[in-house]
Amino acid sequence: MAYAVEMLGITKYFPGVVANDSVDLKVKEGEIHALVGENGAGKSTLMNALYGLFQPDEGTIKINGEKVVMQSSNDAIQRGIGMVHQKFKLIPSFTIVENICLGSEPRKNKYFIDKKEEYKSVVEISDKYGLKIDPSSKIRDCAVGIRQRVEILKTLYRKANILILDEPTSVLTPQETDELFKVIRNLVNKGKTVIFITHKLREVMEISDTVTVLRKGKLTGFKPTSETNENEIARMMVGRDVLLRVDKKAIESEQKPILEIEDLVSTDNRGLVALNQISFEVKPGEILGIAGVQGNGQSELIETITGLRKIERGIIKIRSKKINRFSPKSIRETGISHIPEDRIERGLNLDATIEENLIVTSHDKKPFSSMGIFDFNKIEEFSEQLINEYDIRTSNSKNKAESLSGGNMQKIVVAREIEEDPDLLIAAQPTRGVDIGSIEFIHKKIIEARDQGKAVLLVSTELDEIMSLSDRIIVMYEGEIVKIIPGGIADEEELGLLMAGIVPDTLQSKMRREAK
Amino acid sequence: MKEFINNINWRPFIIIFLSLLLSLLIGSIFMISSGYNPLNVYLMMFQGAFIGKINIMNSLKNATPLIFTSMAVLIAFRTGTFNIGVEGQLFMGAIAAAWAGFSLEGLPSIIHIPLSLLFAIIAGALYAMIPAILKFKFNVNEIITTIMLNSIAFLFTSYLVNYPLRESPMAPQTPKVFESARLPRLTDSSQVSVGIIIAVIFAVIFWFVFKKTTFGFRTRVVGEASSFAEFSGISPVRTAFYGMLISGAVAGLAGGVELLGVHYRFVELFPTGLGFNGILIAWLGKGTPLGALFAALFYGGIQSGAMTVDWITSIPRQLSDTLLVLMVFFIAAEGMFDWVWPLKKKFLNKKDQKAGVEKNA
Repeated sequence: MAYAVEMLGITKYFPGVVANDSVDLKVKEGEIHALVGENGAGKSTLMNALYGLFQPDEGTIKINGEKVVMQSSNDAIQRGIGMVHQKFKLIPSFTIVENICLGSEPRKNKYFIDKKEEYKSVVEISDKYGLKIDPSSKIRDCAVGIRQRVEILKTLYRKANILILDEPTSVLTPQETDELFKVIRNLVNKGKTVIFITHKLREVMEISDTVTVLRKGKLTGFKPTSETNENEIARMMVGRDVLLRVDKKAIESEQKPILEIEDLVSTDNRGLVALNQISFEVKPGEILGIAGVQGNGQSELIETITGLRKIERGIIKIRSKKINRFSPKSIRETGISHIPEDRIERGLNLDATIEENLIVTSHDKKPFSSMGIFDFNKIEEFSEQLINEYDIRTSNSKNKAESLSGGNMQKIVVAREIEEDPDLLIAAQPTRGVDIGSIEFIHKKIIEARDQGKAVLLVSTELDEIMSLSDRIIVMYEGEIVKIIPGGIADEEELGLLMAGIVPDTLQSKMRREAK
Repeated sequence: MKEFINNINWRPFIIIFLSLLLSLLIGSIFMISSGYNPLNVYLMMFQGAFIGKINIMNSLKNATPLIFTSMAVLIAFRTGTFNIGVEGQLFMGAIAAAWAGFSLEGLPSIIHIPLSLLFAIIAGALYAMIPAILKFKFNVNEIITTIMLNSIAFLFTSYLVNYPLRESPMAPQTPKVFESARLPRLTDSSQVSVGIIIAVIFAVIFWFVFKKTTFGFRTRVVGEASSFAEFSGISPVRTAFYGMLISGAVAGLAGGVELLGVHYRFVELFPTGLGFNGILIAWLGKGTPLGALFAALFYGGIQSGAMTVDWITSIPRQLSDTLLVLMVFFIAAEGMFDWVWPLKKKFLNKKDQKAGVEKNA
């Protein structure tokens, strides 16, 4: 079969790094090709070269057997390449149709947009490929899964034959992921070629025909998926054996809880109720996992506990002490530390150095400063130590945080929050967008904290993570706790249903809720 | 030593140099069109700025208030607040210093000067507190409020010198401050006072605070990443509020020093533009205290040079303002110099880069 894409001997230098070192990528026509690798392995560089965002320093690119040089993404689009970025590039206040056609609208009398034609062609494409949408609804009212569909439609509207999907599942729920996979299979059946970037091995096995693995800018694997397995791919990615399951001891905890939450009510940014009378507790030496589809109150719950959001009603207690009206600073001082879900916005100051990011929560305490003046030697010493211990890959502790890859950024946050030596560690999406090697490490650190007798509140949309780490699991749906289940006996299907708000013994709880 | 030079970030210097060059180039278009040889004019300007004791002293006198006002702009800006009201706070500081200077009699200099300056500082800080409270309590945009408060300060001081504090029916001005409240002058032949020394000390203090202290760190975190600051236990509101108060205090001090060092009395036509130019100087100094210090000294020189040009030729002294605005314009549009950086890379061939990579790995 002919190759749709051939990238041969691609080499790309960035100042001080070889991002791609004579990498080959051969994608057959009509296949689903998984491109995997840790963060910083050079996947994005390779794809950006294919999409014409920059030219490789060495190597050739062939599309459908024809050698091409692409000066810009417009050239790539002309040649039938479409890319769905991880961060969607959509205008919230525009409708789906307007977003899809933006920039290449059909015209009427040269100066006017032909709205009817626009609508018709979008519906046509969406029917053809089975991408169900409501063409006239606005993007801001659409769920993440729908937005992604719109992005895919955008490329199809521009007549793409080769689709690049950059970590498409990182924002989706398990159910949405299943939907996406159906769509991808549909596209391939209709003759499209799909390049699927990911670092989730399960997805590679499930969806792809062929897999290409990169490590540190070099090609380390190229195989039909049917001839390999998860462990082998993980080894090719990381360069060593990786523990895919988490090892942990079981513990019994009969001690008094560290965190107690009673009838907590709070609202989201729009003033709507986000938490509806939530009650639970976390004991020392326990990991309490909170599962749920994103946007069901988990973010608001954490922000309320850490003092970043106002409490409407209810009580939050740390070691039996009420902390309802405390400032974020005093809450930290009672022994809570927090790995936030959004490391870019909340967890780090990208403009600041690694050192500054590591000490920010205790910058006003000894030994880092006294009488308001910094002791830079102590800060450097401390930072070097953490950089070593947490294996943060950087040449200098005075580099800016923005120079690091996602996984290393997250390690800064994890290092800082765990070094606070908290009684309660809140970890929200601690491994989102982080490569396998770092995931393994971060999980190990969280378990370590638990084994030291700290209470851990883990919030994640990754079911694997929740199931392998948690001692107990709370499932949240629309601001309420659907169910609390012991970690050992949870199965994925049940959790998936609970996350969708469907309780197996529906009748009972429905009656109970109506009685309220 | 070689390593040290390699470690310097040359980018800002190159940008400033190119901006200066472009500004002079554009300035020369006007000179040629009015029939002057730009080279002669610029030479004249340079001499008028930096050659000879009197010229240097004049340059320092011009720079003094600008050092203060640019620091005032910097501290607020660092916390993410735009204090456009430095001008008005300076006026309030000046009139407060004037009042303390002419109405408190019989104090020794050692008490009278600091006391008058303290009045200026408090007046400036209180006046900055209005937009600060409006912003941090009621979420009112500080740019709008400070601009409006500037007008109020102009009119309010004008009222004061016309009515309650008017010295005589002859002119709208306050009485002169007592000898004991006047800042000692460095020479007899110019108006430059010990104010310049206070200003330089202040710039160094600001540098120290920004670089070495926890407070300086907090202001930066709040300005750069507000929700990160909140998350880390640093209160963005409180930090920015203090930043605004300090900004107002320094602006007030600028007015106090200008009044007690140069004018000795508040006249209705007290010099305007010191606050606004402070904003431009802060930009010119690339947002750092020492950068702003040198920018202020440089601009003080340009002003004094433009004066000389004004006396000798028919080119008005507003030439200095034109050059300043042009420079700030080019520096703000630094993206237009992006073609410069690849030139440097051309000197390094690929082999060097490869070697560098292997060394790093």
